[in-house]
Amino acid sequence: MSTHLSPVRSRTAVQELERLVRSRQQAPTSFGAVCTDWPACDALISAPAAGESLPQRTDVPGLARGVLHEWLGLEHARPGGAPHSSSRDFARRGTLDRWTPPLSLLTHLAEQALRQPMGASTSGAGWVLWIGRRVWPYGRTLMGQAVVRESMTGSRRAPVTRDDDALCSFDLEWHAREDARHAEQLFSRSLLLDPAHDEARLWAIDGALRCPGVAAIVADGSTLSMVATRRLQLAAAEGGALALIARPPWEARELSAATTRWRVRRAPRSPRPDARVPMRWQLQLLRAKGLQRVRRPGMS
Amino acid sequence: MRTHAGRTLVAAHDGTAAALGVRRDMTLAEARALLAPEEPHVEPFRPERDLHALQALAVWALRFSPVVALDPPDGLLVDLEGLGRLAGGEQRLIGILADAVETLRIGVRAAAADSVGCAWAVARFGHAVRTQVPTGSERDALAPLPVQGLRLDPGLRDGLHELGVETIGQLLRLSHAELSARFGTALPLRINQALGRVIEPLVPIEWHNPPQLERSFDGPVRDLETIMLATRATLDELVAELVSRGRAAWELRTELISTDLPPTIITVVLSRPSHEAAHLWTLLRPRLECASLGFGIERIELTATRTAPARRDHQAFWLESGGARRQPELDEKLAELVDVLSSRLGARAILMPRSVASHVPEQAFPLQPFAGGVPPQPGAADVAARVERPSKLLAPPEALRITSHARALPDRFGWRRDDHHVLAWHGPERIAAPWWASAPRHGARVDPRETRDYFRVHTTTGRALWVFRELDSRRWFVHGEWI
Repeated sequence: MSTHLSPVRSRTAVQELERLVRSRQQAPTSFGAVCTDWPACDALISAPAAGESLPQRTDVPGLARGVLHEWLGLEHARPGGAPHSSSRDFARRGTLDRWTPPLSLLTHLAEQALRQPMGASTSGAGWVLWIGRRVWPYGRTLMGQAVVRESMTGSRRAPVTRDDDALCSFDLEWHAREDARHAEQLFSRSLLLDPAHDEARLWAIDGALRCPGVAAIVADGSTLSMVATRRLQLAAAEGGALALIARPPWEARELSAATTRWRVRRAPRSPRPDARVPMRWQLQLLRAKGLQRVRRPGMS
Repeated sequence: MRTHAGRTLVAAHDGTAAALGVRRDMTLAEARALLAPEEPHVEPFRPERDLHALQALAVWALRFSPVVALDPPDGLLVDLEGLGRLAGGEQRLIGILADAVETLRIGVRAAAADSVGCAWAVARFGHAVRTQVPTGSERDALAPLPVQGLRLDPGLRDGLHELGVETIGQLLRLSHAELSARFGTALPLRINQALGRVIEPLVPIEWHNPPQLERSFDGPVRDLETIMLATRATLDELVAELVSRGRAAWELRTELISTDLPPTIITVVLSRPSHEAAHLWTLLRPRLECASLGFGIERIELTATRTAPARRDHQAFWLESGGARRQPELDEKLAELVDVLSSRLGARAILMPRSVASHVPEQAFPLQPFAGGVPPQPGAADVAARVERPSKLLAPPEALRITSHARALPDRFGWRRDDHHVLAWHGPERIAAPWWASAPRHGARVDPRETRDYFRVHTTTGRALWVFRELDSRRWFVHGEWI
């Protein structure tokens, strides 16, 4: 059955549709950004402030809400050897042990997302969902035992080297927090999800991203296809949560609809250890959609 | 049994024990001696549980009379006014009632009288187990009974005992004026209540049937779409009914009654009460799709088996300011998400961390299922709050091989097929196993009873591992990593 429309009426209908599509394209809803508290990172990445349309837009620094951010985790690699040479052995032990998400960094970001309310439209605290057993941090980590700060002592004041394929890279350090009392919010507002298989995990991430009560999502994103990331990107644009997707390091070449992609590496230690700096990682920005030019202060 | 002043006393007993001489307020040891060599079944006395059971029995008794009142700790008052003729006389009605209670395996003494006080006394102290006191003969029925039958305070009872007044008959022979002068107004009031001279109102229990709606088809229906539509419509009506009562559904039971099969029962439990038909439907629909229809469904029954007071909508007017989303709304949205997630993943797949006062790293942060929007308090945080812990804990700890030693501590070790060169050690932090820890399972690699010395180890590859050594066996394990 087809309805018969007069040519004039159908044209107005098409025009109406066009107008609707254009209005949706021109004013994408912005949820603002979460300041990472890492100056090198905040200087690079920004997003339009929440609730503002394009003409009078002011950018706020940090990781944008409502888009996907991919985090390539750390592999349990053999020093000197090819990472995959022993994959058969790892496979026998179960895939759980082949890589680990950068849990300290993700915890830090989730905490920042909780602390910064979602723009002007929200006045309550949201929740943080940890989807997939692999991204569950140890409970003590959720109680704010440490802060992850940008390294100031290292020789490389960020952003500096443009090694391999990274847009920029800088070092982060783990510091024990003196008073952990004010950081218990994350502990009481965390939910840990354990989907039984990959399909259920994708479905759970999708559902969680669409929920307005969720402030941040940390999800195991291993084996996600391009189509799946596109679906998640749409879901994220609906809910406006900070979406952190952890992926195994060998999926760096996989296509994805994510807006930014980060790689975390263990920063090699100098032979003479500095006792005051306990843990250090190197963070690299591999990709940032919509980032026109990396502006580097101190370089002309 | 109950504990009083350090002694364990008998609070209640059954008929078999009574026959052997067990009495209330006897010590448990004495009762055990009387019952020897049989070992009695002993349970702690929990009055609140008894009261709960009594309430349930009262609700059950509503099938006999619309007015049922509680008489804690062990009595029910049932108004039989005008009901005797339905059963062919009050004596028969009492028989029916008492028989019904006995089918529930509950011992019962029943009495009917024109006054509450008289029925109370005769039921407890009368000779027969089931008695009906005819109108006008209350005085005769009460006379041989002990004065306890008048529901007196223990002090008053002891006072009468001192005077040698043991039965109600003796008491009734005394004049009212003397009694009030000696004992105050309580005693004459009880006497008048027992004789029916003072009206004693019953406070009936309130009971509402859970909101239920049903929809019948003309004949068996096998078409899933029709059943879905009908269920959806019924659900909408049920929600409207709930809203009019000011309630929200917490548990929803759907019964599909078919011709040939036992009814299919679908129970949806929510993490917090909701009166949103759309939300209930998202939970119900996938379950309905999987239901077996057999040869056809004849009737659909929807019951809100558990309800809670609904959040008032007018509260939102006061909370709302400038379109901002408020905390209750956010939590509600999350509860809806949890409902949807748990209906597919299972309730055990959605967990919250909890902290426990324990030094043992494996036990300090157990996980519990999400408890309906109530954020748990990080209770025993102090124990673990001052120590540094890795962000990833390995379960179980993995053994490592020491390949070379420098002084007391190893400087090279193998773990997971990798060689690790140690740059620095931090520690030790000694964690003693609790002495009540369970014995090691046979073949377990880590002994839970061993005291451990934990170290933070930095390697040349930039790893920071949490390593421990068992104090006695000197074996080394990796337990976690800062990552």
